[in-house]
Amino acid sequence: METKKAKKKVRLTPCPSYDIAGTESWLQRMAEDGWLLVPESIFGIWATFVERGPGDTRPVRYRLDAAQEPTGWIFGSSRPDEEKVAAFHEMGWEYVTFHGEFYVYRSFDPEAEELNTDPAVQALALKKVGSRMKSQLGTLIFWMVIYPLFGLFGNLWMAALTIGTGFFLAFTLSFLLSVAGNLRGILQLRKVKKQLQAGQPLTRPANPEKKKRRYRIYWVADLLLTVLWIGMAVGYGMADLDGAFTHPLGEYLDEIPVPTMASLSAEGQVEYDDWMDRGNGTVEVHRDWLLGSFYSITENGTFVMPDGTEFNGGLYVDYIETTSPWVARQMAREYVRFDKWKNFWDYLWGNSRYTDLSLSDLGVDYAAAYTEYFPTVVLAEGNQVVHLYFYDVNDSVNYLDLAQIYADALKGQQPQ
Amino acid sequence: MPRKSLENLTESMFYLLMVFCRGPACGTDAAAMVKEKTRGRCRIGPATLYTILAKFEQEKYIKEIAVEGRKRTYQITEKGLAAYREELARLRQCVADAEGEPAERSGRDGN
Repeated sequence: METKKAKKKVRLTPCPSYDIAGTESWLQRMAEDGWLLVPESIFGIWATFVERGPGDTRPVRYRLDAAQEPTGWIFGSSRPDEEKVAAFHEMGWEYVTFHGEFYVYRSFDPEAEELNTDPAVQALALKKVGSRMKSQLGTLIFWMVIYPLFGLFGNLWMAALTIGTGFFLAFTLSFLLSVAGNLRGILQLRKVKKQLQAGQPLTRPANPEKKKRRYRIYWVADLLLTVLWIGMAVGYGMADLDGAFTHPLGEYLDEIPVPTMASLSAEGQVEYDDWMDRGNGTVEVHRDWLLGSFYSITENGTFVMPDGTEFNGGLYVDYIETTSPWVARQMAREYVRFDKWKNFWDYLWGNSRYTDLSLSDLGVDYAAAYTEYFPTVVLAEGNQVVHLYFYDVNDSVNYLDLAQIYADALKGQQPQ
Repeated sequence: MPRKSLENLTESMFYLLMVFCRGPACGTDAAAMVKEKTRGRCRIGPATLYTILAKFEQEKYIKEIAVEGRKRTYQITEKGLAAYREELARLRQCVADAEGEPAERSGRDGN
């Protein structure tokens, strides 16, 4: 015998799960239009419905029950416990699926008792949902703000310049939107709880079409922003792996605005060490439409300084040309902060190698020198920043000399 | 200010404790007994029933004494009995207070 397969359709949900009355009335309207929610189906920003059988005009009631445990297909429970499902069934209610923090039940029996008969008890059940939503907000803030901030040691300007402010803006907006959505849920649930505690039943939304529009705009924006920042992060990672940002100095044809080993050398000659496969005599370049350009020059080798001394070691210079002197000073301070804090636990237990070094007046807007593992100098002049550190096995080059050379370079004077 | 949970028992909670005072019962039987006791006035829906049972267990007003298949049987505890008696005394006091008022007073315009 041939059986006709029931038609199915997918519909976008008009409201978030915490809008209990809104969700219940939408499911009910769909049932009145001949469509029933598919059991055990995914019910999130969309829901799947199956066409009712011919002649099936039974009245349907849909009700949401606050789950007392975390819900989810992977990390939570996708069904209430079987004893509860059986007892609800005995009382006329069948379990359909879960939606957010709620289990969805329906009843075709007009005589079946309402799912919730005591508003004060329903408010009690919602308390756990509210607590879970608060803890989700805490988790969101931890993973999207606290963890990255600790991971970057507060190196935000630098991260924004290298990864791109586009990524940062999309990420921040996406985060703010998620927080706003979560907060809205917590507040709405609190309002519903108060309403129930006062003995009032849940009311259907006054203007469901307006709410539906607002909710859809919200999640479309959230989805687009999330896709955008993930896409940007992946794109950046792939480009970095492909070496799109790092070039051998010999092959880099554009002008590098600060001295390199070659320009510091009396003869313009550098003998690069051959023990390093990568990162020797290279320049890493990032350009950002909002913050400016970043050059990171890595060199390990030997050359003769104009005074005849031989430098044998490594020179690591970051040069940034920002869009404003204020940003330049912020970045210079961020470098110092980062070097001070990057070995957080050592710093906390007083074992940090960070020590301030003295500097004479270099005539620039900002200057700092310290030793962390190596002597380090940070300078800012106008909208330019330099961060350099070096080691010299001959101990013939002093950080003060290099500080003066780079300060002069920032001021547009040729190295002496 | 909203009251703390179980500071006062709601009607459904009170009746459920009342039927558990008769002896051990499973949730659905207890709800049916409440309906019968109140001649259908107090009806307890499944979500309400299971929220109350979970809360009562958490507050140690009842304890699970048997599981047969999917059916769990609960028994009232001393603490549950004390909570029931306390609520009963409070409700008796409410009724006594109401009965102390003149019977047909309308309460309007100071009459």
